[in-house]
Amino acid sequence: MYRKSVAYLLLATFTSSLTLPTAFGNDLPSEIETARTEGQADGAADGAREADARGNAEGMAAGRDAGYKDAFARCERQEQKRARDNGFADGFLRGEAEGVELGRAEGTAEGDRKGFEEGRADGMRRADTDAKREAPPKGSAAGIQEANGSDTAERAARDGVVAGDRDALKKAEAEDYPFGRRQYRDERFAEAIEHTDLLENLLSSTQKQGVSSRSFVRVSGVSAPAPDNRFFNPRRQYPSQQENLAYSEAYALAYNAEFRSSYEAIFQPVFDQARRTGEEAGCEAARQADYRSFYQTGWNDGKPKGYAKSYRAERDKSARAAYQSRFQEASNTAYQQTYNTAYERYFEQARSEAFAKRVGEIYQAAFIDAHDRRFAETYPGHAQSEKERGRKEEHEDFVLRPVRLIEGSVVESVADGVYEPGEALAVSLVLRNFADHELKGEDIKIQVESLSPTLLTLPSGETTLSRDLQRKSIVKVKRGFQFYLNESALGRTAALRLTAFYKGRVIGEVSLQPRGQYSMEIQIVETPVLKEGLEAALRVKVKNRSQLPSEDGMRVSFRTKSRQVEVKNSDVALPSFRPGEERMVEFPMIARTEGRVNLAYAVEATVGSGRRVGILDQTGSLPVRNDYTIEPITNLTELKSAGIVRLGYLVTNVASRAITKTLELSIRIESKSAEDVFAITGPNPQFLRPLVYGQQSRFVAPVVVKSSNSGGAVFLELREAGRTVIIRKFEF
Amino acid sequence: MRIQSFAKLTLSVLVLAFASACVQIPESYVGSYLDPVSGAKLSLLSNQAELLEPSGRKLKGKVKALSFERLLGGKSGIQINNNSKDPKKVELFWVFPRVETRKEAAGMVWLEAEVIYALLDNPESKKASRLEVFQCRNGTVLLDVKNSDWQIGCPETASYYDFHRIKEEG
Repeated sequence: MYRKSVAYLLLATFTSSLTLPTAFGNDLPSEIETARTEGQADGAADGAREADARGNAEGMAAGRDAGYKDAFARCERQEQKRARDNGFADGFLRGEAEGVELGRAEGTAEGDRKGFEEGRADGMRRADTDAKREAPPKGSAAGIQEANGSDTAERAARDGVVAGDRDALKKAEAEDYPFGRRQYRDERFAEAIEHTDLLENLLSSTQKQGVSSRSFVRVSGVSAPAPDNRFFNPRRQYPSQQENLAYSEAYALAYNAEFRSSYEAIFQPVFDQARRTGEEAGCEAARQADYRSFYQTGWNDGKPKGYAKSYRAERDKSARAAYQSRFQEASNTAYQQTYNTAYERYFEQARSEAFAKRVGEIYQAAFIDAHDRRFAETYPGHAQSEKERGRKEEHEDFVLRPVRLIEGSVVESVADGVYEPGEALAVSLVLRNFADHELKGEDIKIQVESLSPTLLTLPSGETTLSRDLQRKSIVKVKRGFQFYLNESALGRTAALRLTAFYKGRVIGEVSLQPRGQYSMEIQIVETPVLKEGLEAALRVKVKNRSQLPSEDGMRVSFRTKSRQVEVKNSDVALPSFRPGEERMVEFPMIARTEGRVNLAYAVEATVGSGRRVGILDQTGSLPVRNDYTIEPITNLTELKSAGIVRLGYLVTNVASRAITKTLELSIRIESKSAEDVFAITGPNPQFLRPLVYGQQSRFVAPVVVKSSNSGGAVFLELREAGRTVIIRKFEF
Repeated sequence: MRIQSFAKLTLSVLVLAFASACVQIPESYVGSYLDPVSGAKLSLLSNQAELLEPSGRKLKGKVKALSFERLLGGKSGIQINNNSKDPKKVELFWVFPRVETRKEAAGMVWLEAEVIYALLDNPESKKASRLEVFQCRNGTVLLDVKNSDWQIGCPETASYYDFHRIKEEG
């Protein structure tokens, strides 16, 4: 029967899909409609008959079974709980009695012991407290009396005189001596300057020159089973095959549908009634079981809890009673035994402390008095002599070092306020001759030391003056030592130390800290998201941070050796712009690869002479994000030979979420030679089925190759809803 | 007995095969729709569709498997496919090829056609309230005879409809 019904269903399906009229809206012939109606009526009646037969029997069996199982489990749990509770209560009472007995015995012993110990401690503590209160006043009085009878005052006076004299001298040395030197020096600096020389370069050159020329550098319920088709019987016959087929189709569908709906209606009430009967039987069976083990479990659980409850209370009560009777006796005994010893200890302690304190007071008063009197007597003399000594020694220093380095600084060769790498810089300095006679230039040595050797280049750092210094003169050397910052000094501070010597003695030291910068600051404003084959732009901002207008025609250039991008215009000339102003520069570029472009590039600004005045040197990773990818699935070298080539391609939607958009693929082939060698056969562009995210589609385009050739390039351009989303170029 | 089992198995396979081939418009999409901008109307039944263009032109069609052979013969119909990448999406291609435009070269056949396309999103969920469709009279059917591949598409000038459900189907 089953095979028969399936065959009918199969036939019905086949008929509905293949033989019905194809034009929507055409009416079916009335004979076929009649056969279909009769098929539906017969099928529904037979299906309902099977549902009636099976729904009652199956609902009864299923309901009884479900009710028995559920009720047995529930009642079994209730009986188990009752047995456990009874066991617990019995065990608890037993444990409670045992706790009282043992707690009483142990509490009494513990209270007695503890009362003795703590009572003894209490007695000792009271004795100590009383002694501490009573002994000290008497001890202190004894100590003060003893101190007053000593020779402390005389000893302190002697010490004060010595200290006063010493402190007066120290003060004079610390203050009056340097004052004397400073006073003398100021006098010298205030002297009239008789000669001032402003010199470009007075140094004799042992320094190597040559710097200035450098270029910058996520269902339930009853659901009917499948019908077993026990009453399946499509029995009518009609004159035409179409009528027979329509009847069979409608019969099969109606049988199935009616069975399912009727089954569900019959099954549930029968199931519910049988379930209640099963529940009564299940519960009775559960009550007859043996639950002694659950009673024992409850007893085992209750006994220790009862014991714990009574033991502690009884133990504490007994301990308190024993403690109280023992404590007081022990306390009194201990007090009597320890009082005298404590009294003696506190007396001696107070006596010695009072003695020491009083001695200190007497000493301090006598010492200060003697010290201050002595200090006042001797300080003026010490002060005068130290000041004179200071003046004298400063004078001697001026004799030994009559010339001093007064100032040092860095000067530029291009006065724009920016120390540029490669720019010729120089150390300028000022020397002053305080002597009333000429000094020989050869006795004066000037030294410049680089403290940042990796940041700057200093050809040479030591020289002597080539010319003598006139008496009472100042000499300003405008360009002493020439040096230049390296490119590693960009954004960093270099350090130099300028030191001058006269006959080997240091006559001055100055620290110099030039910071390296280019006059043009170059920053990336917008990093483009590249799409293969499509133009995008890298935008940079050029800011003039010097104090001079930029040079007219200054060129800003994008430099890379990568072949993954085509830069359409890599050099931009800018007109002059003022200090502090900015200019935007765009570099249009086209990606010629998929994925991320790891692009090492530099953007630099140069002036007409070729000198670099700004640079952004960055190794960047420019993302290439196409919504689609296109790959050829044909060996493109076939395009070099004459004939017809089926150019296969594979399109993948790798990122686009636009799902109902048209897709067009255009194909263009360029020959290396100027000849028209290639022709696309068939539609170009090809209109493709839309692709959802992650979906692929492959197809082919016939290409006529008119003659053998040396190769060229295939361009595949994909447009989504009229928007170009990728242009890929493949060379062959 | 063994013969009976074999027969049952064979019939089961055949039933499954037919069940999968005889796809219908998902129940959640059956209903009537209106594009409020253009005034176009769309009616979908489980096995047929009707489009009323803003101009008054009416298109009717039955869901019919668009096999490669039928396309090659220039037959029209509505194809319902489960999307090859996302099983929760169903594609609807409704195509009217113009047989007189049929051309052939290098293993490829192409015809001009009127094409209607829609992507039915998550058809197993609750009733769909909207449906995006594009339509063009100048689309193409491209057939790669050698690989039995096909492409049906429209140019970028296709008309787009944003259909909103307007009434419940009885």
